[in-house]
Amino acid sequence: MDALAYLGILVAIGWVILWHVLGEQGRSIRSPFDMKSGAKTRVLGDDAHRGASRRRRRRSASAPDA
Amino acid sequence: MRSLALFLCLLAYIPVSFVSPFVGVLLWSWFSFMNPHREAWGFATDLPWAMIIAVATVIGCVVAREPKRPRLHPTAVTMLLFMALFSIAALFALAPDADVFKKWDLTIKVFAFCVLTSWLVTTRERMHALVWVMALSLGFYGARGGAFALVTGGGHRVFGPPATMIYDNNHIAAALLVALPLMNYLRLESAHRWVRIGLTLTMMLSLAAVLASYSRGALVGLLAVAAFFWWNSRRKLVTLVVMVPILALGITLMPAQWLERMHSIGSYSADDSAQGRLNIWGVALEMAVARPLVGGGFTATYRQDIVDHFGPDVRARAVHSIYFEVLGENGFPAFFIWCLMIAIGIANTLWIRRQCRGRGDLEWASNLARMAQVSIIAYLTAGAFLSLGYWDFFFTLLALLAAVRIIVAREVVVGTNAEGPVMSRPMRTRQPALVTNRVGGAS
Repeated sequence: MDALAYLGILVAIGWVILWHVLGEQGRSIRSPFDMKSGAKTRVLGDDAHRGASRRRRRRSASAPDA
Repeated sequence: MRSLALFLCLLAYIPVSFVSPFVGVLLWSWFSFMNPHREAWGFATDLPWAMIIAVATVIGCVVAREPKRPRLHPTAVTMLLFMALFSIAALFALAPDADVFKKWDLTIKVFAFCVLTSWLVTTRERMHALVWVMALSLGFYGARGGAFALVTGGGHRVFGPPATMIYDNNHIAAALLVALPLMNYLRLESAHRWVRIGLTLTMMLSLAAVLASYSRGALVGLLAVAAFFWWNSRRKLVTLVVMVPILALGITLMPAQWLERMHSIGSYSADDSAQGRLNIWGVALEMAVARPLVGGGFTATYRQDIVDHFGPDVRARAVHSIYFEVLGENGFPAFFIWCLMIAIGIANTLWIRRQCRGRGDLEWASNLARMAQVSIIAYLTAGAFLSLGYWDFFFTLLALLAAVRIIVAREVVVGTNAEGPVMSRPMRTRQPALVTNRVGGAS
């Protein structure tokens, strides 16, 4: 039981890291760490976010209803 | 098996720190708070993980494409000042250099990473990820300790992980008390129902672990936390109806020896352990008065020859109080800065709550500030009887609050510019340095 809990923590920490890294790249994954409410915050001047914004703009431009 | 699993996981996680230094902060926090390598029982236990993570994070800070304009906010300034002051005190310490600099090395790393954390937490998502790491790290011991308490009927004491800052039963109890409000913050902010249920169960088990630690200081802290939590809750009647039966049930289920120990709080003069603490507090105070600028230096109260000089017939031991520990070891200036650091943390929570009033989109920050206030109360009350004056978890929380204040300031400015004035009172904040060239927002 203890070993399972330990492995669970290893997986959970990995999941937090993945959630954070993918989130910063503008790609979201469904995860237990999802937040309930509130607008997402962004830091401009951060290239990762600029890349994410570009990707989002490109996606919305190519969308059929755009 | 555990060793191999930890090794393989870190082999995957650590390289990410070179690209995203905040991942390094998450890993550092995980290792500092949970010490997963101490639970691994194999070759991974003795590898210098902390150093590897620290090097990867520092390199990541230099090479990663992140804004590199660290902001000297009041929390960072006081932390840097505190680092300077305890370093000076260490140079004039009374204990042997080997002991002093071993503790200095640990302490300087704690505060250096706290400052770095406050600089790298630049978004709500980063803050949320760090709070998850903090809650998972201590929640693991809380759930395990609580399960142990239930299985043994509270007949045995709960201890923390060996060879860590929170091994002592008093320390793990105080640590769980400080972590409980953060778990509650995650429960309030998590989107998934099962996650909220899991967090509630972990909180219940952690509460059982606190009681089963047999720590009298933690019981005082628990009562203070419960009172403050109730006072701060939005639905006071519901909180009272839920909280009182849970606490009463927990206490009545504890065995007779637990009640006996807790009753000894009232008769501290007849208790050797309590009397010993009062005596060593006196020695710490004497040390600070005799050497007001630098105190006795790290680990001074652990050496009998030094203690004899300030308080004859007092046994050398840990100070068992965050206040007397910092005062006795570092003198009055460092103690003042340490108090100021905590006061700034409290001020940050008050400021965040005030700015978020009536802002649904910033409710998360208000919830965090509210829960952080409970954590601070837990640390300041339970810590009065413990040697956790430089505990990384608590100071990371203060660093987090400083970062959240900057995030909230930015969001409030953006909200005010985009939608007209939404605040009930005028803003008194400068635009944070980390925000640059925001399109459509304040610049």
